[in-house]
Amino acid sequence: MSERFAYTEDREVYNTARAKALESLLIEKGLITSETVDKVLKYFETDMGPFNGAKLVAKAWVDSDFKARLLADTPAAIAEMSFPRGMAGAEGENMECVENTPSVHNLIVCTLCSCYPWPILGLPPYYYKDPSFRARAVREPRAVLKEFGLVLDDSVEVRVWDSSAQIRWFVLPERPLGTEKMTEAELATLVTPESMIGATKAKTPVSV
Amino acid sequence: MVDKVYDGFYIYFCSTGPDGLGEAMPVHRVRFDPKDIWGNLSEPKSWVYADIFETYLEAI
Repeated sequence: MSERFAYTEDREVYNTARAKALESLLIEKGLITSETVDKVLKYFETDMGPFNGAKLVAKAWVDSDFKARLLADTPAAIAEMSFPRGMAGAEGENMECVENTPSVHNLIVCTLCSCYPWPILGLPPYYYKDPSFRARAVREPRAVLKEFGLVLDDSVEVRVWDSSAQIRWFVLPERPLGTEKMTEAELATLVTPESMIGATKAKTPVSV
Repeated sequence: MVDKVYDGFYIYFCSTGPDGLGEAMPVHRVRFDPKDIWGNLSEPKSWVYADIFETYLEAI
């Protein structure tokens, strides 16, 4: 399967050139302005990105009532945070959070395309869009996670969530050990976008 | 459509808007035992959850 979906060596160069050509053409035709793309990019740099998700997780780790609310009614809990406008917008209309514990590990995938909770995680990374990941994650999640460097004990139950309709799933990763004295802001630095998909666990304090 | 589905305790109703599949309809969260889909190509102790529009499901 890796052969079938193998990427070409010049993928980055080719795609950049193509994107630039498309942008020029769209500007030429008056469909967008030269500022449009920059504006959208900026939005993902400042408003919609994993920095939001990290804050959400850190808060759930320190505040057990908030964590309970986050799991029970995810959109309402997200609305409590002072995030930028648009959290219930594009790809954020129906967000649902599942919790990782020592006995249950959740992994999110979109087998059909790459649906991803944009408002709290930004745009999806390459691995998440990869056809091999999307096909294999549902059938052999442990094998895929092992390739990502995460080895789960056989006693752990693995749940794979396929975002195949309107719900945008994400994971509340386990709080790493040795973080009892950390502030909420410090905890947020341990939360990677991969850990909120379930592809890895959150970082441990030593590796920061 | 062959149904090898565990409508376990995770059936869930969320209405969707009309979007090409027809009028608004519930979306059911369905839990699958991967053994039912892939037999012994699947891993033990795992579950696959999918959100499926009602029109794709057949009641038995």
